[in-house]
Amino acid sequence: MQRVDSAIVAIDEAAFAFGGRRILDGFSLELFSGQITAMLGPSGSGKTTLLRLISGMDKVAAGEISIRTSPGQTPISYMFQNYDTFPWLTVRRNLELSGETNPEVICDTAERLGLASLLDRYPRQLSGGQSKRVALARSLLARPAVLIMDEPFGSLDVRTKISIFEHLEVNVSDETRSTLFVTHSVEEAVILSDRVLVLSGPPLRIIDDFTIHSPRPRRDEFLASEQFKTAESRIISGLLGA
Amino acid sequence: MTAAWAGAALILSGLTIILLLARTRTQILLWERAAVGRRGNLLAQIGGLMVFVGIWYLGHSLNPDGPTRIPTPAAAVWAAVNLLVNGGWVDVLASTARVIAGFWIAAVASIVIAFTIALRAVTATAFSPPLSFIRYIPPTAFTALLVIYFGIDELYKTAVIFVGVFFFNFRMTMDILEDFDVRYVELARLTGASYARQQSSRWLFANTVIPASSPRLWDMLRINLSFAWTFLVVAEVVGAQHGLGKELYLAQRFFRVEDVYACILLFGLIGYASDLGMALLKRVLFRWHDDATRR
Repeated sequence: MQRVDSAIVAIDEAAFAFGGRRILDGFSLELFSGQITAMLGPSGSGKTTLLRLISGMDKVAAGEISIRTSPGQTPISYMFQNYDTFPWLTVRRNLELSGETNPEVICDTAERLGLASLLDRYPRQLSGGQSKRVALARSLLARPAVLIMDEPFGSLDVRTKISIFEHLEVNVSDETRSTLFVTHSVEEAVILSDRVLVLSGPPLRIIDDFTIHSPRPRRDEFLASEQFKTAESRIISGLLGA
Repeated sequence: MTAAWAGAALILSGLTIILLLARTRTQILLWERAAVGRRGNLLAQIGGLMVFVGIWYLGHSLNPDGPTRIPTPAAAVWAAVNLLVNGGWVDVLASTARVIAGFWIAAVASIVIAFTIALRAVTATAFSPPLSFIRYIPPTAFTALLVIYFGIDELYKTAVIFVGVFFFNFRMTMDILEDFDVRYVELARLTGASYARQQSSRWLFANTVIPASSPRLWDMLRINLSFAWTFLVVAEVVGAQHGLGKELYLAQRFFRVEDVYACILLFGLIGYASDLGMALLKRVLFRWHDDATRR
């Protein structure tokens, strides 16, 4: 079981408005090291805005967001919903943008994510799933304190999705990192995350916040288990009430 | 009368080829040109050329003689060949060299200045309006000033082409930069371990804005290259020893109609060749780009 001991991200009474609408108003949340956190909520509730505020792309109007990093550690790596690669760089150069310069490490990560034979290709020569894996490889190579993913699995086939799950499960649940992802899939949230946040808004608020205690990998047996069904119905009830 | 029949026959044949091709490929739109096939595209091009030449022959049949005659395409091609072998190649070289110099100096200057201005919001706001204002002044209006400042030698000719192209390039470069998808900057900022480096505007500009904009900048240059040839004719009317524009002017002055057509044909051929060269270079330079494989 992963250690859950200290907050890597601390959001304290954050407020943010856009176009005259209050998206966040006194919103507080802590994200802990060694955890994968899933966020679910209706479209337009403010989930992506929260991710943008955590990543520093937008600034809070009031309150505070702090990120605790180890010395020399990359604070944030962000996997965007639609933008995952730089089209003018080969896969290899895309991975090098992570800051990792050791070719052996890059090749090793590419190998583990099934990208070894694609290193000299350009993104337009990749499928959607391969592009997502490039983005994930780059994020993992950056070794960030917080890995943020905005609907990362939306357009992927089941096989690619499971392969990415495996890499996240192996690589991300360590005590120097917190992973946060937005999804509309209840199944993805329960299979992958340690903690589930059900949100509503705007203004964004937490409807439900619970932990899933189950060893990984969570596959066929877990999907048929009572624990999965309980978590699933709890999320759905939360979303219906959002 | 023979020319009229020949023209009509060419137009009908060309249109028949095009219509037959279009009938069997009704579902293929412009953007899916590759699906027509190499042979299909070649046939379509031949059909189009036949229609064009046919119209020319018809024009000739309407006005075959006299000082305002329209020569046959064959006579124009023959005149072009004669022009080239009788020293006209020097004119072609001189004109091409002027276009290359004026166009590329304008290209580099306009892009560098536009990028420098666009790097900061304040400078973009400050300098865009006056430079856009100047763009609306016809470049030919500057020729009088250019003669005063640069005389009528090579510098003047390069300057005319420079002025003719610079402001179009500048405004279009600014438009391309304003259209730039800022999400690439966000992705670059939040993608790497070289965190401090990747926050700097200079680094982001060099590693996202420039590469992302380059294919569109290249397309812009490809379009504006034709303007350089337009202003070359204006430039070579004054004080040129050699040049196609000068040849054109002399041929018109002495009613050498075939030679006028020959010069126009040569302008077209050189322009087409340079456009083709730019398209081929795009494939080499921007292999990563979706459009790089299309013409």
